[in-house]
Amino acid sequence: MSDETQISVRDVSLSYGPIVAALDLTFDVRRGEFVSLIGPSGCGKSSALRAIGGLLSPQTGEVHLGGSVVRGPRPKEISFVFQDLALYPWRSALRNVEVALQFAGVTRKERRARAMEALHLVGLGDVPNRFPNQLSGGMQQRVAIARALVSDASVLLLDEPFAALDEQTRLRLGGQLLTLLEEQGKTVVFVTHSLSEAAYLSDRIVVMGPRPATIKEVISVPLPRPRHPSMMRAPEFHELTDRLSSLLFEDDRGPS
Amino acid sequence: MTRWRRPLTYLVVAAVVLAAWQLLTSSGLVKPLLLAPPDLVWAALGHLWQQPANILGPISVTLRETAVAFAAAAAIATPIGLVVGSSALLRRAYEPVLTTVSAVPLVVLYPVLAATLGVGSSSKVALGALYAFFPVAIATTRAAANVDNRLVIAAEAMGATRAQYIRSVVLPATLSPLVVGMRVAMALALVTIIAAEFISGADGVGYELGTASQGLDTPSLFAWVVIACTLTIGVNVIFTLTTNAVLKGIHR
Ligand SMILES: Nc1ncnc2c1ncn2[C@@H]1O[C@H](COP(=O)(O)OP(=O)(O)OP(=O)(O)O)[C@@H](O)[C@H]1O
Ligand SMILES: [Mg+2]
Repeated sequence: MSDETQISVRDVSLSYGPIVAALDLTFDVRRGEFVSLIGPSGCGKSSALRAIGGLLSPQTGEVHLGGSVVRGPRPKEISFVFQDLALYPWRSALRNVEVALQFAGVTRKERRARAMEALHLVGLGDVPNRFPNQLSGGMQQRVAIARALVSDASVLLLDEPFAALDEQTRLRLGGQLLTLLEEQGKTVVFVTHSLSEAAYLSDRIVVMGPRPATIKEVISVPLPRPRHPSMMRAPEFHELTDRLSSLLFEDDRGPS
Repeated sequence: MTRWRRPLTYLVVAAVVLAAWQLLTSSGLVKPLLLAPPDLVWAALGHLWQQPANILGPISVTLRETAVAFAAAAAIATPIGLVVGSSALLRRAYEPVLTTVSAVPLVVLYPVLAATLGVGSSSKVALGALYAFFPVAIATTRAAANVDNRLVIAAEAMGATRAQYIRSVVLPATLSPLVVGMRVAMALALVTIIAAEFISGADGVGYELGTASQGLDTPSLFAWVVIACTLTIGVNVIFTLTTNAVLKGIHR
């Protein structure tokens, strides 16, 4: 990770017509950094990702990417894994991965080879010709991840990519993904509901409050890189997850 | 057993209708001049079939006109529907126009078409195409508008150009409803062309119907009715079977 700021979210407020989805979000993401967004359901995490990716224009404030203001999708620099995956049901796993390259104008032969490689990376090299409805929820999520990895984009926006998995599998896959992303030097903004996942994978964690979301706190993770599963038994890890859960639950306690 | 249940219900209903038909006519309740008895219709069919060209000639004329009309309509209506349906502005402006115009009895245009294109084959093809245009255009517009928004956003995020978006997202997503629209269009084109041949034709199934109806030859009129019905049902069944097979191939 370098010290250079790659994504800068400045006083961003988001709304859908009259519905306010987020208020005054401000945070930075450095090049190569892994930042997680956590917060209660409906607090605006997905909306924040959309704003970073140029799919939702801020009501106020600006998102900067590599120094310029984001005004629309930037497929060369940003790739998405959507919360609802958005796989094309009439395309096989392989062709779902290829589609990202197809839109970028890559030749058929090259995109086939690269898509196959990306499927291998997520452990789906043996089922390239299955259709989304023939894959389990977790496999579909991995197809979506492969589709995001196949492009050369340096920023990856992942919206609960492991939500369909059990805690063990999600931590294992998350760890593998992390290694991969470190190798490729990708910058990641990651939405999750799992506190241990956020703690295990992230460099920093942005904790958002209930609707309409504001940022409560940005926490640096005190664990060295590369991460190893044994770190989940370290006292720092437990202190961190305790802190996260008390931040998330303090609103439920009512006035003290 | 279950496999045969459906064909069996068809057979039973057909037998009941035929029996009632025969009963009505042979009992003298209905004059044979108004409704020919089935056995005479069957004999008339057999008589026509002695020279198969008597039947196959008109059928091939009607089918050729229908094919041209349908192909022209589908080729024009599909891209129009895709473009109109996938743009919110165009859709708001033109979808109501399409549905309104489609409700106009377009057959009133036939005299105009006949005057400009002549009473020959082309005016009938044009009328058939006009009728076939709207079901395809309307179905495609609706289907393109209903494309899963998540897939639209994903394509946008991956930087699809408008052409790529229509080709790779809208078209595959709209294929099934598009085919349904085409089936309706095909049937409408066929019926319209038979009607146009009936009004002013020199050839085709509709023309034969018209001639038989003027000749007081009720059995052969009914023979042509049977031929026309079989033809429309046959076209529909063949179209459905082929498109189902093609769709299966594409969506697999
Ligand atoms: N397309 C939309 N149209 C209208 N309102 C929306 C839309 N998408 C989200 N919202 C609203 O914006 C707010 C934030 O939604 P968002 O999807 O960003 O939450 P989230 O934090 O991702 O929730 P979850 O954890 O359940 O995925 C919610 O109140 C939601 O109802
Ligand atoms: Mg969400």
